[in-house]
Amino acid sequence: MSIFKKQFLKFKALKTSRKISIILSIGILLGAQITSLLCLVCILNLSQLFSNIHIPAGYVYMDLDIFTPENMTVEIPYYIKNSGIYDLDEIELEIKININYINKSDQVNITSLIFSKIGSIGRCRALYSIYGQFKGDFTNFNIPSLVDFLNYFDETKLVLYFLDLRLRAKYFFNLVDFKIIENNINLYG
Amino acid sequence: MKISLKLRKNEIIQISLTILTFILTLLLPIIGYFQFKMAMPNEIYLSDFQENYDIVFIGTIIIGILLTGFRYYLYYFPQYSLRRGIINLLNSVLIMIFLIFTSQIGNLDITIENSSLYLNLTGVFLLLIVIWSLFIFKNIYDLVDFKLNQNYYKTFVRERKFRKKIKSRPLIKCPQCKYMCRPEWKKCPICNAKITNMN
Repeated sequence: MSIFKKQFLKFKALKTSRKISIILSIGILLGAQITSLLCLVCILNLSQLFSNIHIPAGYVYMDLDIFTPENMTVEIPYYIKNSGIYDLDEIELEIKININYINKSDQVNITSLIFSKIGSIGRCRALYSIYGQFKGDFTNFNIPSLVDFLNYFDETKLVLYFLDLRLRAKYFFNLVDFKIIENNINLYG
Repeated sequence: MKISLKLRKNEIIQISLTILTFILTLLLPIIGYFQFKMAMPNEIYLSDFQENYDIVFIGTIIIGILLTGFRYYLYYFPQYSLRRGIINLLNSVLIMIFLIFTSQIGNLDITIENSSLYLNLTGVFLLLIVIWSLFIFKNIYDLVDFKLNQNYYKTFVRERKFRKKIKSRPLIKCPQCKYMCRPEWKKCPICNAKITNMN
């Protein structure tokens, strides 16, 4: 007689309450094992995921022509590779661009915010990658600071552009919430 | 000098499960505590309970010691007994509290120079807590079952013990009909021939 048949006969001879208890134990144990395994995979995937987010993933394009506002634009390329087995949901990106220059009238170092935008990237499915451009138009520019910059910056001194980025997303059936913040990424102007 | 260590199957299970509980509920939290302590407060910030970190750690360790103790003494109580049921229930309730304590580190804020990572794993811990509450439900069910069917389990365990005892005894062949007889029998129940125990 096979082991399974023996075990089945043993099981059949038990009292109903004991049978229910055994079925409950097997069900709960299986559920717990599967859940723990999924959680473990999620934690392992997360560490990989963080190293596969590239923002900016190339050159940042900026047009600061304030005389033709419709042409004013910022394009920041991004690349997100989701090598895990869960979808990356509700990806939200916030970009701020600061400018650092020397005022030619009083030679003071000034840092001002010229661009700010919060936008949704959407969803990155499991085992897929997304590559796109995070675009902003003149409505996202801080026009007074930009006018000040264009009027008073010292052309002989170096102008620095800094990017502040905040990426927020949800992972593992929206149970894991994470936010990556990077400040003062130097964009070489 | 030779030291022989003979362990029964039950004892091997008891010791290995105790070691596993010790690693999971005591060793890992202690290692984790010192790792976090080294990284705090410059790199890692545990958002809501940063100030209570030591208290939570002590609580976790106390529960870890209790869990390891319970796991060790669980096998001293007979199977399907009320005492074992109570210990099982206490065990799962303590594990639930342990999970609630450890879930506090699910809210992490890691900062390195200009970059920081905020990670909220509370949802994962919540999922584990929900799964564990099913174990508590199962243990309550078992406890009620052991209480209601006390007599059934007593005979059930006794029968099993008796069968094991019988199986472990060597049987003697009847010299006439070759029927396998128990050593305590004086005559063969089939042919009434006298059984001679060689041992």
